[in-house]
Amino acid sequence: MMTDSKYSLALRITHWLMAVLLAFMLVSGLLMIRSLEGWQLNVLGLHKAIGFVVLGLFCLRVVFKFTHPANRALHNELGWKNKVADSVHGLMYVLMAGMPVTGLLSQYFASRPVSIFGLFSFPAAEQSNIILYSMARELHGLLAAGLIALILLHLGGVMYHQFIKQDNTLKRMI
Amino acid sequence: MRLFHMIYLSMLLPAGYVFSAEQVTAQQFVNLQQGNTSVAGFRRAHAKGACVTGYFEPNGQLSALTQVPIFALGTAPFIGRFSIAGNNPTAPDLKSPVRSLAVSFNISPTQQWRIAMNTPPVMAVSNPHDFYQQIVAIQSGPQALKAFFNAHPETQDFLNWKASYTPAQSLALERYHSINAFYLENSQGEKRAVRWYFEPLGHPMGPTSDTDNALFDELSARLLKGPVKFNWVFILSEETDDENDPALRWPENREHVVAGKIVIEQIDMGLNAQCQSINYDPLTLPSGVTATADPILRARSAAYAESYRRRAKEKLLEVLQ
Repeated sequence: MMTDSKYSLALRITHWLMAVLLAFMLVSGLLMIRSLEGWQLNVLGLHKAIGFVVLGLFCLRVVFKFTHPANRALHNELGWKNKVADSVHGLMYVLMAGMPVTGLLSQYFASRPVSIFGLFSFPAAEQSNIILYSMARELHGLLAAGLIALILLHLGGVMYHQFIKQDNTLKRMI
Repeated sequence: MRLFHMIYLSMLLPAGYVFSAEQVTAQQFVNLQQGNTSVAGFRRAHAKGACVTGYFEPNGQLSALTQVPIFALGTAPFIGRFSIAGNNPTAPDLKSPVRSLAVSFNISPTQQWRIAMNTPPVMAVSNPHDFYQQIVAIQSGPQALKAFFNAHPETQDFLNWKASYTPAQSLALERYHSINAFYLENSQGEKRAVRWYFEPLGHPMGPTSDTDNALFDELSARLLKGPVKFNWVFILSEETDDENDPALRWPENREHVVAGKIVIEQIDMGLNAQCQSINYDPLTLPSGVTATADPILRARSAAYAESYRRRAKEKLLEVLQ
């Protein structure tokens, strides 16, 4: 059966790479807005640069998702459960795109160029706009909280499939 | 499952560490600075200030040390802000022990330089946790502050400066110091730790009033008569100097390089003037200037960001209402 087969290698790689990078992004974000320690500046720089990498991977991932027919959920559940799974996945995609975009916009409106590993920089607004900065910055924080919640739901779904349903959902992604 | 555990742990452990550690956080620091009387929409520290605009006119003397283009010939416009210490945007000017000047160079869309300077040439202490305790002591009164200084011998250079300092009659006549050291880097990749200060070039204009806005009124009146000028002077470190300790003064005989003139032409006291939107985080640096490991310098980004985020949110809510 087509839908029982593994996800494509490209999708599996981007999934796990993004899992690790998103964990780094959320942890580094929570740490760097609180810490007064010397490493804060380095983590801040990494957070911005890796955020850009995540945005690139996200774009690739969307392409893989829709170009390969095997990259579909099993949908072996009752209607409402499938809908919940689809909604969580859909929202995760929205937030994975929304996080880097609001992050970049907050820096743009605060007139702070974002350097990507010193290779190149995103330009910043010539004049800071504190209102637009605040909109982007507060959204960035709210989306982060939403993404953490969705990741927990996603992990809950994995546990459910693995231990209760005992199907091959997890295997398809490994 | 092992992988999931690892992801879980990597997400939760460091966050737990942050919430439980005894280190001072940016939020605690800004809470302390704003106290119970912060005013919505204003900076949590240095709340009272006025925007100025002007330009820097380099003399080329520093261009061998750094690739920052503003030190090559030509002029570089900036948006600056004079301010006094404290969380009160209407505080009486002459009561504040510290006066400040910040400048922002918009060098190009991808190169910004924010500089925040104060009247003292050094910090009293060497790290943000002691700085926090120093502010606690200041808020607790003269006795607590005296006890704090006694318990911290590294405050000696600061206390020596304090004993010799007489506040100027004008914001235009103060010397403003970078305090923290930075590295300059040239196109050959050579690095040199430096501090800098703005050296006033003006003259007294007679007695100042003693009103709450004495200093800002004086500055406005002075600017009506002509620009306010400073020399931008760099102090070059030697091998033996510790660039990572902001409480330690470097010896007097270090080489000083005048890089050019800062010319301030206009002042805008308006609460919505352009500089009020700027976060003068001194770690916003262009290529050719990098941060030292100075723990107080390194602590500034997170603290400035927290203060900026709070007042920005208040301004946003004001607009939405």
